[in-house]
Amino acid sequence: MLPLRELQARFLRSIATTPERSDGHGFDPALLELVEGRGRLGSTDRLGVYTEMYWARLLDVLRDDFPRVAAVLGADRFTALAGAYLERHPSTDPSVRWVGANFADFLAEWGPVDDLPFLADLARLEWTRLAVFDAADAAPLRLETLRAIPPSEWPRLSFHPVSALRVVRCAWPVHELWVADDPKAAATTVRPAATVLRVWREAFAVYQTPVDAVEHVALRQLLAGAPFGVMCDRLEAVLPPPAVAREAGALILRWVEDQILALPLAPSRRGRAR
Amino acid sequence: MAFSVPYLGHGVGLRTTHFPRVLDGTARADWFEAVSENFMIDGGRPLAVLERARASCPVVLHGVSLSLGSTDPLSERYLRALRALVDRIAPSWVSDHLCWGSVGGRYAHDLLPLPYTEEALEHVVDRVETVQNRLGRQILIENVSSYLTFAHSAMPEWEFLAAIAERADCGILLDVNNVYVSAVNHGFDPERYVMAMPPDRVGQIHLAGHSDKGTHLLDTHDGHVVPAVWDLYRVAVQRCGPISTLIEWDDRVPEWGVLCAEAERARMVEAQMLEEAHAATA
Repeated sequence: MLPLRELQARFLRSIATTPERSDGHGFDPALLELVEGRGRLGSTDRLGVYTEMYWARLLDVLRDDFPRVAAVLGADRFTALAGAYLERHPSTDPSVRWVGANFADFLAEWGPVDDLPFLADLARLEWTRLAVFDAADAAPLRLETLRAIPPSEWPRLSFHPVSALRVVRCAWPVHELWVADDPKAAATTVRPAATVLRVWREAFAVYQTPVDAVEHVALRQLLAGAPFGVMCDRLEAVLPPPAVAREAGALILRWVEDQILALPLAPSRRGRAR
Repeated sequence: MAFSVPYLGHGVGLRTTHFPRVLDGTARADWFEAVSENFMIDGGRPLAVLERARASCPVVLHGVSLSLGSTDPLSERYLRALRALVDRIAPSWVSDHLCWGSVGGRYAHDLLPLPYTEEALEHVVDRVETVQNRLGRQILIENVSSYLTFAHSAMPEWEFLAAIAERADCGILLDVNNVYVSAVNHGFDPERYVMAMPPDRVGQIHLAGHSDKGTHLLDTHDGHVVPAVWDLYRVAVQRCGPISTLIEWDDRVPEWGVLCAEAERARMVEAQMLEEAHAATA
């Protein structure tokens, strides 16, 4: 007889053997002795039911969370790769929501996908979309609120991003693969191009768009909590000074429309009058 | 020590397939059961759906990852998140499974079987008590479908379950389909299991479909309740009286009308059994 803790450790180790080795050879002998085999199923078959369920469930989770990565790889290759990932990064959170937390980093380091160099970026985008999908709700800043603020106060205004906003930097334009009807076919023609994606949620829908250098600079200031005046200062690095105020104002209006700015809106001590 | 939960009627699981109906107010049910972990998130559509459902009818929270039988410490983060969800939703009750799903900090995300020993019994009782103290309420524990048993078990599952409920002063979520699946897989009499349940501890019943794999039954929740499980449900109603009953349909989830028809069938079966019991005593 095994103490309960020892039994559980051997059980999980046995069923978490990768699918290609799940024919019973990876099962712990001391555990198998404790498993009753009766009827049409022997002890190995019975433990095999749990092995099959373990892999089926976790592979389903990864397939659901990374549908484009799965489509690009194809069923067999995805299963092999996801299996290798789960062996390297077993789930450590009670919720299956976090099973894929390290998948993008794993892909970035995993040699056998060197022929698909954009895969880690694609996985990062898919994981980011999940983070945005269930990020905290926030009351969006409305245009009426903005219009009520005198122009003289703008430089010191501190805009707050909603929680459901992320910026993803990629070496590949993976948003094109994400929207492709056939990601596997699209993957054959994609070419590297430094890309910055803004990912956000409006109501319950998640969106993404590539942003230019101007918006990227402004987004970094927004996410850093910088007041509008500081944001404008930074934009001078990528815009001619006369265009800064106009472009910055246009960005704020776009962000209000996309609902990525949240209340409250408050003057900041970090700003300076321009 | 006593256990009591309200009678809610015949409910259905809150599943993504029917989220649009919940949001537009056309999904009407006696009550919903929500999988706790799916809503331990910060915001977005799932939580909005849950709150909308809660505004329209009672909701109960049903966990899959409490890992009551695990020898790992209970996850503090999980308990905090569950408590926060309970405070937010005010469910009629909270349940989880009589099983383990993690060891050494690693989660299987499955409902794994325990040996029915005195060691395991004491361990689970202690953890159920801890959870109840942390949540400030009694919980219900559910029997799981199993595909193996351990040679060193010292008692049958029904005695193990009833003893835990009594010693930990918690309720039982009797999954009638799981009783049937395990009975076929292990060769015991499912009626004997149901008749061994303490009626004053059973607060909820689960009904679900399963798959026949030829060598064993698999608890798949992907189809109609089979006739043998309806028969066992009759025995459960006979034994326990009217108990809040839920149709658990998680995979290949059917149209709303089909799901509701299954819940209606449970209502009719229960009514018929209660009528027969009434006639017999009149």
